[in-house]
Amino acid sequence: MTLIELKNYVLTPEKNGHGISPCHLCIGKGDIVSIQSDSANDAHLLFKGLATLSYPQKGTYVFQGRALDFSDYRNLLKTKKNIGYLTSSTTLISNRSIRDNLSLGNVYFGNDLSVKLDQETLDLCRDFGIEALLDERPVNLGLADNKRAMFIRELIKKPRVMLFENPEDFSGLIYKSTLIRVLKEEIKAGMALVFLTYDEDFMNAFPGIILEIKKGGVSFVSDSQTHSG
Amino acid sequence: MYDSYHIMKSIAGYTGRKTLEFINHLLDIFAFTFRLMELFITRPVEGRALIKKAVVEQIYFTAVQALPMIIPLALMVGSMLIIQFTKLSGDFDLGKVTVVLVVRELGPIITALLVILRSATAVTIEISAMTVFNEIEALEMSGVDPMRIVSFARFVGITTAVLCLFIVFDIVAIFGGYAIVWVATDVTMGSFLPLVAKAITPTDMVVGLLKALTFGVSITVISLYHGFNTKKIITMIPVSASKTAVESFFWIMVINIIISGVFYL
Repeated sequence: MTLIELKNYVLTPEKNGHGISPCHLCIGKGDIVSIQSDSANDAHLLFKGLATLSYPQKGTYVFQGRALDFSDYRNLLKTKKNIGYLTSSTTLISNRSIRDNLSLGNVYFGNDLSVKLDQETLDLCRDFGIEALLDERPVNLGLADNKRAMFIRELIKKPRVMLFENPEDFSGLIYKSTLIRVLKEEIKAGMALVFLTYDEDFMNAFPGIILEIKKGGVSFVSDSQTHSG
Repeated sequence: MYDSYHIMKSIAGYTGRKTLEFINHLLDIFAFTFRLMELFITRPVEGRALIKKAVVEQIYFTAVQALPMIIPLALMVGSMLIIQFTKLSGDFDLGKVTVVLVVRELGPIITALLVILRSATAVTIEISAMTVFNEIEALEMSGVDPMRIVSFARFVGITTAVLCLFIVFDIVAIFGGYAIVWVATDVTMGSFLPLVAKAITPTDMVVGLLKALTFGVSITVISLYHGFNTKKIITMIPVSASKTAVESFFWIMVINIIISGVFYL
């Protein structure tokens, strides 16, 4: 089942880099896509494009069979909710505690301020060593703690696809195996993973299709399934 | 001849560009206001509990926490005006002058100025920081509409706070000012309070409240607009805060003149 399909998709560069020149790509349910790029800016731009945070200059973005309408940001919120986004620009809301950050979605959509973190989330917090830090604000914590909290926040959204830039930055050395285990479980359950890493452990743990970005051109260089480059 | 032609051309070009920029900016502000007003009508169910909480928090930050500042300010302004105009009471109607100055003009302006200095700049800085550090993106990625959770709550909260502070300012300035002058000086004020009661008309109250309401709306819209439109560079945060303060003050003066003109000319 196709989850994401980009047709003739063009993204203009935000800072340095080439941008993304017209590309066609499909990502299916449970796919693992590893990005290799000659430019970190282009790779980041593709992540933003896939997360619908960067709007296309032209082309069509089809998410779960529905072409997205970029004319109003509100049309994209439901899609964004289904996309896990963990990149160098991902943050927590600084004036809320970690607990509030993790429960924000449930409180907002459930309209209930008394919503508590469920057992699954608490287990994740324990596994990633932030259980005792839940009532702290991000500013009082170290970057590593905040990164793990971001990972948990994106994971408990139950995303259809996880966009993961440098996962090694989010796990650190201590929690690398835990993060790999959790991601593998989610992929088994049908979540697609699009990631960029320079860490061998992650490369070996998630062998998949390689998506190459060269001077803004996007192509699949090895594919175990049918993908168009 | 050649030089003067080019100088004239560049002056005309500069004036035209600045005029277009100004019109464009005004249209952006109106579009932003429209988007906020639209939320009163569409009233989506999602997020209502969070918004209610944020509105109460904003009223607390803007109105309740400003009381220790606005009360002494109102007492100082009220007592000073009463003393000054008592001296001139042979020439002017003391009650009328107090109403004109406190209820119609100084009350809304001083309240708005305090809110600009305390809250509008703070809101712009907060939202600019959220923009620069990608927190707005983080909200969107959670499926949460930042216009509702960030803007709408502050819009309702600050506007309500300005209205409340204006009422507090007027009451404290007139009654508190009278009490201070009565206790601390031997100035003869005659029947000051009955004179004020006689001088104040329903139009004065409507004008005061209308000014407070429109000031509240414009201050909030300008502060939110500059917060969201901050370029993603940290040094742009103070620039946005400064623009908010200056622009808010300018527009409340313009609105003040328009409302006074419409009702009293």
